[in-house]
Amino acid sequence: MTNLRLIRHVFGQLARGRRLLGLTLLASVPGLVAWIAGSGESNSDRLEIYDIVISTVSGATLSIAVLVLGAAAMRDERDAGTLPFLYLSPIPRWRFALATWLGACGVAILVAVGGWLVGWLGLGVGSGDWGHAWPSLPAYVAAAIGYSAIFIPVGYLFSRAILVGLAYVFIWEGILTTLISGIAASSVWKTALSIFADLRELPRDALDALGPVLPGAGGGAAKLVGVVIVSLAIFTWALRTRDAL
Amino acid sequence: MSRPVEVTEVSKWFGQKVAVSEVSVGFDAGVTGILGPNGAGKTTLLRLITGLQVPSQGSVRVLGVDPRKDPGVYSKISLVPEDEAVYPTLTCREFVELNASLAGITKRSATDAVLEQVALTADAGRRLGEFSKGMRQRAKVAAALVSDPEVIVLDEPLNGADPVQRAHLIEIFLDLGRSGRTVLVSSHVLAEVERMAEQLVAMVDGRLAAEGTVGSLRAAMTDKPRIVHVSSDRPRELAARLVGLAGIESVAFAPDGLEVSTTDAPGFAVRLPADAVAVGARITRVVPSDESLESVFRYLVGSR
Repeated sequence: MTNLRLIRHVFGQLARGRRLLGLTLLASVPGLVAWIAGSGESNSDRLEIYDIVISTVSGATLSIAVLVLGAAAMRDERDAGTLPFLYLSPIPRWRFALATWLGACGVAILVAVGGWLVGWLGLGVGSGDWGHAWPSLPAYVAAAIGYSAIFIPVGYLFSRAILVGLAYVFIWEGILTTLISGIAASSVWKTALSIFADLRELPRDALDALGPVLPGAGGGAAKLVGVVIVSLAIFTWALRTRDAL
Repeated sequence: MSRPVEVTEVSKWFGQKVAVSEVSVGFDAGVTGILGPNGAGKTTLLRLITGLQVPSQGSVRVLGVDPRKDPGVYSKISLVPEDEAVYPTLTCREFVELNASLAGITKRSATDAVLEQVALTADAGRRLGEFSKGMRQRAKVAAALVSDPEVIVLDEPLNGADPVQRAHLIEIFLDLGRSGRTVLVSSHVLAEVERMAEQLVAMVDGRLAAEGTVGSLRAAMTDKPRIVHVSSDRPRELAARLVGLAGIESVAFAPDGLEVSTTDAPGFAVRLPADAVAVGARITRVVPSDESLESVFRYLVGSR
């Protein structure tokens, strides 16, 4: 009951009208790009363009949208001085971390699904194929789940959480996991994309974004669970050992 | 039996800045005022006690446990933070209910009771963003009390409250203290603390400057002369008799008598009647004029 209240609170604080709309628009950029780029093309080209744009652009837009949300989950409370009302609740810290993530993750999934819907709509209207976009939905949801887990502790630990998050997105996910094959599997977007690639045979240009990560929905889901567990463990540690204010 | 709140050799620093330095202090049931100028370390001490901040060294125990390690104790601890921030989009009732449910309280009657206690029942449906500063303070107090805590930590709780609200809140805090709760109230407004607290903890520059009652603190400052106001019908004759006596530092005329500065207050009290008789003076009143909290505090800060 207590946990549910915390989940509802975090969800309610993050799911504010203008922020939700703005971030959903950001998450819908790849779908819009695919829509515009595919207009005037043949149906098969439209579908290929969709797959390539979603595979290469969505990682950046989704990660930034979820970064803004995830970092805000605790950072907004800290900055506003309202965190003590939550922190001084008799909830074991791991459950506090889990409830916060569930609340933020719910909003992140809303944003991701909203963004995906725009692409689905564009592709469906343009090509008449209303089924082609469906395999990308699990990738969107997976990215929302993974990034929200990562960025909540970032928001708690760093006063410049957005900057730290952007460094993570562009340096770690964008450069290092592409250049160093040994750490490629730690990329949330590559993990999400591996689920997409398992559900749909992607064109070569889209597969390039995967790097050395092999397509696999089961493996991707398992890696995602690992990312969530590690992130929640770090958040729990931070709640126990770091200043809340 | 351990005290409800025990702080042992606690220091807290942020980089090079020492906010609290080697503070050891305990708090018992009743209202204890935490006094100090801005920047003295009061808020940091309260954050350390509530577990919002981690001591750089030393330990904090509340009701026998470290809140950081055993957050279950938060069902018995409440805080009214100094920041006036609340959730502006929540109504007052929603805000109090949020705190109640986070503490595991589900009964609506608990929320009704505390809203009544802080006189916000009529405004319970309004959003906190529409509230005045004083009303937000009362809403925070209601949120803190809804779980019926044993330890209540109030950081500058009267900020922004008008005189009527202040009197009302002070009465609430006194009632909590009388009912056996451990109430810690920080303030830099001396008159407020004087009205609320039986016990005092004074902080200056992050250190514990003194603790005890106002009287005991004043009495402990033996190196400072005491100022005693003596009302008399023959002040000149009495002044002439007192000047130069051992233990008398100075004698000054006041509107209805004398202000006597003495380093031996007990001795002065014993000999004053005889001196008055000797010069034929009638004494109508003898009162210490520097035992107010403000005087004590001025001495404490000044001595640093």
